[in-house]
Amino acid sequence: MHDDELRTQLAELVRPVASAPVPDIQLIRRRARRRGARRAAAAATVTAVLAAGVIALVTSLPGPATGKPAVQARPPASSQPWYLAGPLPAADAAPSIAPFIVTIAFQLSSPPALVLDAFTGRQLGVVNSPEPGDGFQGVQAAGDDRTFVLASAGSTSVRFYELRLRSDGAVSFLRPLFTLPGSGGVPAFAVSPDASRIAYATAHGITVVSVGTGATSSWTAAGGSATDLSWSADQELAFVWHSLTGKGGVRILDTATPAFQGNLLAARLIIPVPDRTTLGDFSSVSNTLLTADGSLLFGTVVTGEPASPPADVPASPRAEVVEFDARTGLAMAVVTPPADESGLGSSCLALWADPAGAQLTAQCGGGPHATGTIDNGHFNADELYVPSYNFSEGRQEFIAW
Amino acid sequence: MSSNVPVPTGEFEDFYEASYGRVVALVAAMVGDRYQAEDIAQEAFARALTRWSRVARYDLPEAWVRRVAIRLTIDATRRMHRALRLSARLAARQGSQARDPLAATALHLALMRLPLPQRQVLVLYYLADLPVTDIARDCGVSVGTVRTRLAAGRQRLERELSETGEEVPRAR
Repeated sequence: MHDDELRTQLAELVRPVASAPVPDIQLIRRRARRRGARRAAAAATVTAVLAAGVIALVTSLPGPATGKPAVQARPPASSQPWYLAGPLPAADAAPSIAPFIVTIAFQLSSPPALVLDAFTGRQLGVVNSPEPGDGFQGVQAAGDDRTFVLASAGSTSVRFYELRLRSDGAVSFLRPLFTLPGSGGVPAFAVSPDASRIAYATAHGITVVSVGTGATSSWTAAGGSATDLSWSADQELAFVWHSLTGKGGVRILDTATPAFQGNLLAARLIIPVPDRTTLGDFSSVSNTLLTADGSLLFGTVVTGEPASPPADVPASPRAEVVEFDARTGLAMAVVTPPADESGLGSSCLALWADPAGAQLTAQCGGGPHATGTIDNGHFNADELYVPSYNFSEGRQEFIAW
Repeated sequence: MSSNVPVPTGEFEDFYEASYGRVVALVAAMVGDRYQAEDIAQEAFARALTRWSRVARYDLPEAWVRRVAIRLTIDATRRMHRALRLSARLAARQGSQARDPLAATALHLALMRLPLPQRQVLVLYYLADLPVTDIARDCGVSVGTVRTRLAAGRQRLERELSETGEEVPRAR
């Protein structure tokens, strides 16, 4: 068989594929749209405004409808006008990562939040809790790189604040949003990319607060708890459900659709944990990060952690960032490098993703160059400044980007 | 199957209709799976669409799409290797849902046993009829590397085919 024969055989091999009908171009358009975070953000902005109007209308009516998510009116926490966060980066913008980090200085008493330049580590601002004696215990970021939500826990309440930065990273203002009763510390929470909604975990499920109106909607379920909340721009909320019955996993709740009837477990289960049949040796998925366009979900997946390790053989669990398809839950890739390849350690955590998930920052272990960017699956250790932290803490407990 | 053909018009739809088959065929030969090839090709075209105002100005927009597809193929393959610990899950899902391998000919089986870099240059050289300079540009390597991979790929293909009793393709 000469070269020409090889060419012929290769052409014959792929002929069924090459000659198949070209898929409808709408497929490509839809796919491109999913990458079009700018459109998604614009749509989310419109939706948020409409939703705020609808919720305001609903809350003016006597009592919620039976079987719908419980919606309660709550007066705005501040007289300061509220406005949406800025637009997300354009889908075709040049690769870049968010420039500012807000981190909690746990080493200090009544921990303040520090605003840092992600590239130089330069401290751009210090934010103290307005409540004397309180310290911040959690921080989350919206999608515009300049809007953050801080949470502090006092002896009887948990307070949420909105922090806005100027274009140079200096603090523009900090204002109170709402207060929850309780002394159990800051619950898991997340702020939507447009900063219009904040979701937080409750003892029985998840509650979503509309920042503009103060209205709340709750989804509940018995026998478990929700952690690791993360929003997309179109009101989808990813969370990890820890079930007492063992049927936990990553779920995605469409908060814009009343079809869930307030039942949290009606949310779509995309990654069951544990599932020995399909998940291999997964023992957990945590620190989930849903991209703003809703297409991808990154999470720290722990492997190599046997349920009953032999006493004389130390377990060597690895925590790697895995990219999942947010629609199907299919594991697409381990995006952080193996420890023996990178020398960065085996405990990795996704910290920030661009709207389409093409750019990701992650931290693996500690030390210099422990943080890097992941550009379309390629991890590059970079000179990014991320304060050291205890990996046992979730992302929201120490940093927002 | 030459891929360096002029774009019929500046419209994305025309470009897509004209070039999709070639791109997906190349990717299919590289990854050996039709569904995965379609997924990669569609992703490459979607990326072209989001940047169409710029890509359309290129002399050969298809070369841009092909390069993106090659990059995605590398990513997909690398990810699959990195995801060995997830292999049980992937195998279970792919086995039950989304596998559509190309015909299991001896050539296909031998090709799939080649390392991806060698497979890529063989496919681009013999299927796409690209000169080594273009292959070097598409793969982001030097011309010398392409020639090395081409030679090594032919030798490896020869060995793989000989193990199956097939006649061996001879290098030019």
